[in-house]
Amino acid sequence: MVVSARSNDLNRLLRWYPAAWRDRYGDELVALMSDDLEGRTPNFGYRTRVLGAGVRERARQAGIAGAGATASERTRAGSLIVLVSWSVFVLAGAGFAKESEHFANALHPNARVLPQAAYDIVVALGCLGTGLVLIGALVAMPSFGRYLHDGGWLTLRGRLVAASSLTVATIAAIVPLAAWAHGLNVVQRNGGLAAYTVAFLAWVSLVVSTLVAWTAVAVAATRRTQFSSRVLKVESSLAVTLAGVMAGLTVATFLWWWTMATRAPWYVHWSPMGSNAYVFSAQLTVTVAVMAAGVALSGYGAFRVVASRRDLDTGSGSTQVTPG
Amino acid sequence: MAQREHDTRKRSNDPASLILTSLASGAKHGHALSKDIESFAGIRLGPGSLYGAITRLEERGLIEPLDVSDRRRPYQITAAGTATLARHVVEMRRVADVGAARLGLDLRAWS
Repeated sequence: MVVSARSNDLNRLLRWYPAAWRDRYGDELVALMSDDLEGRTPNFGYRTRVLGAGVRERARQAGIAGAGATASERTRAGSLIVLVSWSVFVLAGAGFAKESEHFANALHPNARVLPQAAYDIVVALGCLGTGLVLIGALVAMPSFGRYLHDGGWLTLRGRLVAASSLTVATIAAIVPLAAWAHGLNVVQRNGGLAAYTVAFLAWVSLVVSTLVAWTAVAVAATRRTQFSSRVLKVESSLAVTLAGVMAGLTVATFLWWWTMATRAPWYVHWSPMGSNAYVFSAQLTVTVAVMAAGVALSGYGAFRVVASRRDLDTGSGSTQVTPG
Repeated sequence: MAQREHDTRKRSNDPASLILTSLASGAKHGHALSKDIESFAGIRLGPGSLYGAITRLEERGLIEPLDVSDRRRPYQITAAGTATLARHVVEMRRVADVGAARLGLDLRAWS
């Protein structure tokens, strides 16, 4: 009975591995762990190491890490990492849009040039990034259409229904929220009225959920759709460009923050105009930190794409003949 | 080619090299591999690391599975695995010789 419970415990650790890997190596790994532990219960460190190995195996099979997957899978995975990073950026961008509202009014006309230039660069790069994502979607559309036509619809149906429902809920919720906001003053809209703040945060949660749901649809669809080598090359080029755009967006946002902090610190800190406020802003710090995380993630994705492109161009796989 | 050169310069104690070295003396299953590696290299490979390396080596055709016995599947080194290990050992030897010469060490005295 004890042995059975322990065996179940070890089998549960296998859940971190991909299904195909479990089918092939699962029994052997459980047998090894049983021999290794000699009747002892695996401690936290042991479990964590097995868990980590399982997650690495999943990442490798998905082409996210390592060189085990084919060049096209690695290119696709790298491009998807960049796409997910862009979703993170959209959230950070929404935060920036809120934090930079009417910033020009807080500045003397002579002091507006640099913050306005940085802001304009953020807007331009935001539009460029959105354009790149839309072009990527258009390029992928014929292949995606074929995938849906060939039965992919059944696989994606649940995710599509969830994403569509959330979109409808988000749009429906903004109407009463906007009407409510219209009757409030600036202070009430910015934390002065608890009920409105709660409602606004609930709506923000809906927006985030919608974005996550559509990103999940895009990831699931892209992973399953068969792309030609030419389409994959176009998508990967767009992904690398998008990663560069995200890096530029982060720099421009930081520049805007810096120029505002040196010219109108009270605006950055939401203090009375003319006060000598400390330039730290929790909201902007979170925004730039999220952007920096997105840049790091997209940089990794772009690196995977560039590293895989050579194999994709030559049509070679991932075979290596040396240990390691 | 550059990738291959890079790989052959991997450390002598990476799991793949250790597994190939262990299997060079005969087929072994996971636990026997782990014990053997611990005895000759002083390194205890966790089950996750061991099976990650086994997966990679099998995919590359450097080792092959034998029939399962009581849920334990032995592996044996293939001809390609033997050739790869030989190249790796020669490379390690070359580096070791250069290091020993520069340090003025007599490696025979250390064996």
